[in-house]
Amino acid sequence: MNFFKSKYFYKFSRNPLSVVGLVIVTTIVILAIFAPFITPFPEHVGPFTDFANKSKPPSSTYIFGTDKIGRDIFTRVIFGYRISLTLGIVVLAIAVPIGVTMGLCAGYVGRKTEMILMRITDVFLAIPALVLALSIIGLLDRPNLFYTMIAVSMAWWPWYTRLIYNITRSVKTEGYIAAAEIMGASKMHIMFREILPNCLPSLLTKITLDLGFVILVGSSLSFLGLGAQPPTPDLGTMVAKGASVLPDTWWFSLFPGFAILIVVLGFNLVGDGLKDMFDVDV
Amino acid sequence: MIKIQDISKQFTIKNNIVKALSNINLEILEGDCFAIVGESGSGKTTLANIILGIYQQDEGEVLFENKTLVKNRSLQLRKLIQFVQQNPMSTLNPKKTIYNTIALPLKIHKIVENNKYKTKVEELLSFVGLESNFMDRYPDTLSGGQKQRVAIARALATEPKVLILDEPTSALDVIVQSKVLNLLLDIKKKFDLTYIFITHDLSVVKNIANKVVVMNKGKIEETGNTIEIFQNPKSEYTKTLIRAIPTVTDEEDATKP
Amino acid sequence: MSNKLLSIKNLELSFKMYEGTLNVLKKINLDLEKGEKVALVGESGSGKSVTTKLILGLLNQKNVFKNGNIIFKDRELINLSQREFKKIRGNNISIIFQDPIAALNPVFKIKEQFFEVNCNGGKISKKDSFDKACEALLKVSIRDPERVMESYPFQLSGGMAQRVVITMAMINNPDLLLADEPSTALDVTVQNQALDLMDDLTKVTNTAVLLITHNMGVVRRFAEKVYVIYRGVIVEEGTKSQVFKNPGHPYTEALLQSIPKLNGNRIPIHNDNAPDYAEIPKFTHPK
Repeated sequence: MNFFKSKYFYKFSRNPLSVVGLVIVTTIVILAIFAPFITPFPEHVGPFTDFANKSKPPSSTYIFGTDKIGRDIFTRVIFGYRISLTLGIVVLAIAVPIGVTMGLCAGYVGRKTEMILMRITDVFLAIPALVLALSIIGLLDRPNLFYTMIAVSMAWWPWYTRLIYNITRSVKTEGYIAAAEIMGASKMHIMFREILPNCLPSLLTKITLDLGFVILVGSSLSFLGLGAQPPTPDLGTMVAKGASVLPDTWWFSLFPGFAILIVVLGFNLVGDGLKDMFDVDV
Repeated sequence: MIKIQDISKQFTIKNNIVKALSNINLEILEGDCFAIVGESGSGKTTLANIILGIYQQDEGEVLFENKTLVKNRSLQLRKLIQFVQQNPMSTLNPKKTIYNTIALPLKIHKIVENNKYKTKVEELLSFVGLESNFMDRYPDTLSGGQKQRVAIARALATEPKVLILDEPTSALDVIVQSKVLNLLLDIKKKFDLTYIFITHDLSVVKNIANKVVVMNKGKIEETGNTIEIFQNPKSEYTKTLIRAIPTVTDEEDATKP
Repeated sequence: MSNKLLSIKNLELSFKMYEGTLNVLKKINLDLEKGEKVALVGESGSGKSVTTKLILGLLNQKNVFKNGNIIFKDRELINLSQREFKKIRGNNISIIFQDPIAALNPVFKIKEQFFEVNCNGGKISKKDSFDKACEALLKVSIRDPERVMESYPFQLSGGMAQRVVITMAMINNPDLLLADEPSTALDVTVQNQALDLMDDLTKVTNTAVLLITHNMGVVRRFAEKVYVIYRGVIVEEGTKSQVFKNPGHPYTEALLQSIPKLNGNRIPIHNDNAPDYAEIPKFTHPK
C-alpha cells in the first residue's frame, strides 16, 4: 500500500505546514545519518585545528564560517544533529516505556496502585524538567552526555504516565474491556493488548512533538556546560561558546542556534500533522 | 440452572447510598429465554453484572448448576456464562481485527488446538452469517448489525451454556434488529442455550421470551410467564409500562390493558 | 399569503471525503404548513439528521456541497450568512436534541441558560428572564421552578431535563420546532410525557414541528403527516393514517412489518432478497 495515497496521508497533508515539517525532519535525519559523506570537512569534528582559517565569516568554502580554531561550523552543526537526535531518541526510549507502563497500571488496576503511582508522578511533575534534570546531573559525578540523557529521561516519563493514564481511564469503560474480563483474559493481556493499541495514536503524536522539546532541553543543558564534552560537536555547547563573542563573530552562535530552532520546529509541525491525522489530543 | 437467592447490592456515590438491588429471588431454568425488563435505574444491568462476575453482591447467593458463583471465579465457570452487550460501537476493540477478537476466547480457554484457530473462527463466523473474509477486517468497516454478529460469535466461542444479552439490538435499526433477533433464536436452538435477555423494549420481550421479570427501582415488580404477564398484568407498574409502548397498529392497542 | 411555512425543494447535499464524494441527500422535497406536525422517519444514515442541520445552517464546512432551496417564510435559507442565521435560530426556528442532559451546558445553571435564550428575543433583565422562565416551567407542570432554575443540568433527571429543554426551545414562540429524536434517550414512560408536552405547547402557539425519528411508534403517536426517508431519498409521503394503514412503498412496508408487535408471538422475518428500496420510485399518497 502506498502511504502517500492513503487516507492517513490525506488527513496529514490537509495542513501544508505538516508536510513542510515532514520535509524538514526527513532532511535533518538524512543529513545526520550520512554526515561523514555529506559534510565537506568530516575531520573537523574531532580535535582538529587550522589557525590559518580561524574565525572566517561564511564564504563559499565554509558556508557557515569557521570557529576560533578554524573548524568548519557547517560540518559541526550537521554532526551536532547526530548528538541531538541520539539524545532525543535515547531519552524517549527510556522515558516512554516507564511512563506507559506506569500509566497503564495506574489507570487500569485503580485503587491503591493508582493512588501510589499517580502521587509519585505528581511529585515529578511538580518540578520543572530543566531544574529536575540539573539537580540529577548535580547528584551524579562529572557531567557527560550519558548522564544528561538519564537526567532528562527522569524528568520526562511522568508526562507519558499522565497521558496514558487518562486514555486508559476512558478506554477502561468500553465494552470490549468488559468482554475481555468476562472471558477471563489476564490483566497483562488487557493492559498491553487491548488498551495499549488504543493509546498508540496519541503516543506516537506525543513522541514526535516531544523529540523537538527533548532536543531543546538537551541543548539548554549543554548550553550550561552539562552536555557532551568538547571536542564533540554539540549544538547547545556551540551556541554557548559563541555567545561570549557576540556580535563580532555572530556566525559562531547564529547557525547552531538556528539549527536547533529548525529541528524543534520540524518535529512540532510533524507532530501537529499527526494530531490531525489520528484525530487525537495530547 | 441459575438460582438467584436474596441478592442485594448497594453503591456509594459521593456519600449517598443507592440501593441498586434489594432482595432479588429468581430461578432461571435450562432452555429459558428469560427477560429482565425495566427502565433505567431499575437494577437490571446490575443484576446481569453480578451473574457475570463484574460486581460482587453485598448479600445473597447466585447458584449456577448448584455451584456458587462469586466475582473471582474459575475460568471453567467463566466459560459457561458469556454475554453480548448493548452498544455495537464499543463492543469490539477498534484496533483489533475480527480474527483477533474472536480468537481471544479460543486462546484463553484452549477450546481448539493452536493450529486450528483459523478454521474455528471461520466456523463461528458462519454461525452468525458472516463470510470468512471478515476475519481480516477492522470493526470500523462494519455496520452496527455486523458488529453485533461478531460479538455474538465471540460469545459463542467459549461454548457457553448461558448467554446474557444486554439490550443486544436496541441500538440497531428495526430491520436489522429483526434479523439479529432471529439469528439469536436460531443459535439458541442450535446450541441448546439459555438466554437471559435484558431490555426495556416490551414488544421484543413479548415475541422472544418465555418468562419475564419486571423490575423497578431495584425490586421485582412481577414475574411469570410472558403470556400471562402481558394478558393479565397484576402490578400497576407493569400496566403503565405496557400502556406506554409505542405501537404501530390498532390491533396492538387493543391488547393493551 | 399562503399557509406554507417551510418548503424544501430539490435539496441535495454531499460531503467530499477521501474516499470520494458521498451523496447524503438526493433531491429532497418537503413541505410544512403553519402549525403542522410532520415526521421525517428513517434509519440511521438515511440523512434525516443532516436535514435539520441544513435548515439551521449548521453545515458550513469546506467539504460540504449543498444545492436546492430551503424556503422559510418566503425567505431563502440555504446560503444565508451566519449572522442572519443567528437571528433565525432560537427565535423563528428552535431545536430539541436527543439527549437532553448533553444538550444543556453542564457548567451553567439552568437560569443562566434560560437568560441566554431569552436575550435572543430582545433585551431583557436577569430578573425578568427568571420570572418569564419560571412561569413557563410552571406551565409544563414543574412544581418548583425556582429550584430547577438554580440547578445544574446534571442535578436533573432525564425526564425533567427534557421538559426544561422543550420549554427553553418554546419560550420565544418559534414558528418551527425541529425535534431530533426528542424521546429516544428517555424511558418509555417519560417518552410519552415529553411527546404530549411538545404537543400541548406547540398547539398553544401554533408552532409547526418537524419530528426526526427512527421510531415508527413515536411517529404514529405524534405526527399528522409523514415522510419516509431511505438513503437520502424520500420514498413515501402521506398522512399518518395513509402511511400506517396502506404503506405504498415496499420500504415502508418492510419497516412496519419488521417491528415486533405487542400482539405477536414471534420476531418478524425480513425478506433477504428484497429489492434495492432506493431504486423504487417515490410513493405519494393522494392529498
